[in-house]
Amino acid sequence: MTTPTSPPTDVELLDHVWGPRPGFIGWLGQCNHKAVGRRFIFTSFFFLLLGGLLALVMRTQLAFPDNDVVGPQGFNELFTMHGTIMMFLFVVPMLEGFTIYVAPLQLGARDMPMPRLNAFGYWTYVAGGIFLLSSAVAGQVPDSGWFAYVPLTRAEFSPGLNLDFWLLGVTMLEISGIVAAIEVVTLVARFRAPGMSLGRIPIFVWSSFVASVMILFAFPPLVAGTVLLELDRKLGTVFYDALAGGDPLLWQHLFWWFGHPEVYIQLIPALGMAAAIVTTACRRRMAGRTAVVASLVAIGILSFGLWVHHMYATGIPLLATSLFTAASFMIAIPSGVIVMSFIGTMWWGRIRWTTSMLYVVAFVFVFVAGGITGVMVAMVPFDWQAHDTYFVVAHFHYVLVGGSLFPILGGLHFWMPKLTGRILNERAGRWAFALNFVGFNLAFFPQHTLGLFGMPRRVWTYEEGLGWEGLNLLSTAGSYIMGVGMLIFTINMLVAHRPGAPLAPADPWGAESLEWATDSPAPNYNFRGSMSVESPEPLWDGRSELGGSDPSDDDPEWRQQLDRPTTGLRQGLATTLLDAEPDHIITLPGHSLWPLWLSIAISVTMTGVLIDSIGLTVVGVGAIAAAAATWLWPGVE
Amino acid sequence: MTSPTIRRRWVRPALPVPAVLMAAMTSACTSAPDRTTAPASPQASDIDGLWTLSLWLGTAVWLAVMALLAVPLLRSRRQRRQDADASPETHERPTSSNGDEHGRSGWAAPGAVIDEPIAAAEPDTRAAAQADERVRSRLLWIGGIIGPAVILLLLLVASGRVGASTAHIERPGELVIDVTGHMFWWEVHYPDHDVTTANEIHVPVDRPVRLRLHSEDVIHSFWIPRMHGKIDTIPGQENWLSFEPTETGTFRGACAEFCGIAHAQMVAWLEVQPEEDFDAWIEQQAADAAPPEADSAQLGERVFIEAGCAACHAVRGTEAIGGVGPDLTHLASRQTLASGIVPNDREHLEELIIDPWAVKPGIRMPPTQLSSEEIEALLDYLETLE
Repeated sequence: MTTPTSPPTDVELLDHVWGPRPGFIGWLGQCNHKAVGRRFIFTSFFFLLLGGLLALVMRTQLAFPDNDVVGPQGFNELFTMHGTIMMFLFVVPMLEGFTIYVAPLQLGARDMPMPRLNAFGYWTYVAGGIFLLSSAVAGQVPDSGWFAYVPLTRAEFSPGLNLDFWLLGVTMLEISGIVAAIEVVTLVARFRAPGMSLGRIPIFVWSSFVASVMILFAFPPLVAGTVLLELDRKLGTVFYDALAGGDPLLWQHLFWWFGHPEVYIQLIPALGMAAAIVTTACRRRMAGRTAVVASLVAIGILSFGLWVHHMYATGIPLLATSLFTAASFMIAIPSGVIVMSFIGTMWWGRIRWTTSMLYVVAFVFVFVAGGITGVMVAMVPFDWQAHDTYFVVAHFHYVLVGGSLFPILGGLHFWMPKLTGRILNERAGRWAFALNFVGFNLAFFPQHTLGLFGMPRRVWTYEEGLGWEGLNLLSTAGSYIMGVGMLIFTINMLVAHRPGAPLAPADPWGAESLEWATDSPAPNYNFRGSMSVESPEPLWDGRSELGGSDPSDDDPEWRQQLDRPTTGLRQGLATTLLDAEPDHIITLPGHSLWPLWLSIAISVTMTGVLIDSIGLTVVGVGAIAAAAATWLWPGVE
Repeated sequence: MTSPTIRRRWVRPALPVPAVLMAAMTSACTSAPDRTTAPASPQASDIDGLWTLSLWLGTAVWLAVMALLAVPLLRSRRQRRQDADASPETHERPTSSNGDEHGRSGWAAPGAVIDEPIAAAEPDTRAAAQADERVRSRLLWIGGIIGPAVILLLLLVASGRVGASTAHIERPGELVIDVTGHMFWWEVHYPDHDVTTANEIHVPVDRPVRLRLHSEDVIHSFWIPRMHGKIDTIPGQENWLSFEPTETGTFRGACAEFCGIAHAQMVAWLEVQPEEDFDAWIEQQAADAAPPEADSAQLGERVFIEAGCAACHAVRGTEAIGGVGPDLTHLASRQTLASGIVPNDREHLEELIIDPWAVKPGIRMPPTQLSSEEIEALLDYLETLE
């Protein structure tokens, strides 16, 4: 092997070629996966706090019977925006951010295969977020739930712009999700380090891959659904109008064909994050690693056969719904395999108690409970009782907070050294964890009982004497405790990034995957030299080449071309799909403002549709065409 | 070194959680009058049985998983104590080729204490490794696949059986009632008796009831927890909900599907009566409104017709035939107002007429500008509509 004696100019050259342009324009034009990934993560963290604040206001409203803090309109806006923000602006972008930042590093790549598309995904996400939030400025906040059931959302019953903000904003977020998914699928298929055959891909990358494939199948039906609804609203079509021969249930089918897989799109990458944490904390290979990957794929496929279990009360015949009971039950088996693999990995003990590991233990604790209530509500007769009550609210918060939020918080602790080079304080982290864990259970466990006590969802008030008072107050108290936990978590993040805070070492946790082989934060070029992966845990096997050495004159020519970019081009290595043999070299763009212009053009178009301005819409569509054409024009950066 | 004391610090606050929750649950358990776990029909009773079965099985599964999870956590703790006593026998982790440039020793983030040697925590002996492998394989096969599959099959059969016994099928001798969801109230129509009322459904005890559910505007969902689960009312579609009340009394229900601004205040009441009481009630409801006798009530009737009430509300036997709001022919015989949310007394009725949004924000009834004499007369009239 080479020794680190070659001239430092190689690293400087790499750093220069892969680094951002100077100045604000350089910052705007960054397309590299690390810049985009970090932006996704921190923007979506902001939305997590925003969504959480909305939830606290809702809990305040519900703390006492006949309370009047926000009134019905305000409450409806709150729960609509809470759901929309948490689903579309927090969880999915956060997981995308982690995938975009971490997955190329775990695969030993220098960038994503289509960096400009990556940047476009981010800008469209930001634009969609601003679009949705601007509804508050316009005083027309969406108020019909994140599920936007027709006919309530048709112009007849929701004449304002509220729903147009929602439909157009969500469509932009969907576009962002779809392009990110395309990118991740390509990345995982063709941008792996030599030697990283399918069986050696880290579980987190597998999970991102499965979720991305799911996005490609799940998001288009919602885009179709929202476009049809917007046509109904703006052009007077009757797709969902029962009186004119349309069908209100069409929306529900389209929505849940997206909406149910969406739940697992939010879960699966988080499972992958938890798997990375548990492997590291237990210092062992994941128990039943292949079974875990197979289970992730199985969940991904099965999740497309469940959508009707959101519609048991719509009068669909019992025989049909019973089939969906069986299909929903089947999800429990791969989920069970994954949970058991986690426990099996821990089995030998010698666990290192980092805060991230505490979040994984909390994940098992909470997620199993959510899974069990999931089996309950999959049973048609019981769901007739539980559907649209607080039992379901409790159920899916157990699944999503346990299965998604806790792994994400653990993942922030775990990967923060790699993201920014700073390490979060463990003591503050434990306090935040304890408060989040206790607060969460206190807030949501009583809601199971409230549901069985007859409390429907989405009610802004309730009368005295229904037996709901005590449990609602308990739930509100729990939500405040969790609020304090999240506050400590946020302060911890800010303090860790104060100027002069200690820097993290390259591998603070003794982890196994490739991202820990390079500096913290990851340098512009990710890895310096040649790599070869010999096992699923390249940092532990003692045989893999980890890309830390400078290129040697003995390296093959293509390797030197990659690691000594004298041409000034960003070039990446494409490898074969199955065995990750080096295949060919791809030149990647490094700086472009066209993704930003395209996102702006889309926003202009959406605004034109929103305010019924044909002129603005036409200008926007023209701008889209111009931006896309310039982007694709050979030689334009 | 992450000492056990640090770990106990988070364990301790977490311990009272289940205790507090259990206490809260049990104390609250008997206080909710209209809970699904107090069935008043065979249908709700069957569903409650299914719930109880799945609750026991689910609790057992959860406890079993937690017990399995506790094993490595406790072992890890014991291991740590042993390691603290003896010098740890650990294999050095193979260092990565580009190393730790910042140096582990020079790094001093407060509280982030990972200064022990990093090692792959594999079992030390061959025998231990084999035992470990056996456990892990059993965890996956029995805990992850076979165990869940057996329990799920059991629940699938139970769910199917309860589904069959609670299906919304036609039953001999049943009473059919049309229930129509409106924003934000329930129209109730007895087709066999040609009786129309609102929000309060009277049914005889021990006779199968079948509700034919429609909607005039958006999707609502009709739900009386102690009778049966909920079924949506969907425009352009007819859904059925059938149950057989076996207990007399008043049962609360509500709209369960979000239907707009006043969704929270769209309550329905079910009055289950002995057969003869029901017969008397339906006969009384079938009659037209009696013409008012007192002067003030006669004035009130004119106010009702002329001030616009009649544009939306019908009073059978008068010129008022509006079909937008609830039929008021026998308003005074109802217990509640504004879709079951306030008691039907003069005070609330007055508030509802003058400032409907104060009673129920979002209600579709407009406020009425009337002099106080007109209001009094109107109230007098409405109180005659028994």
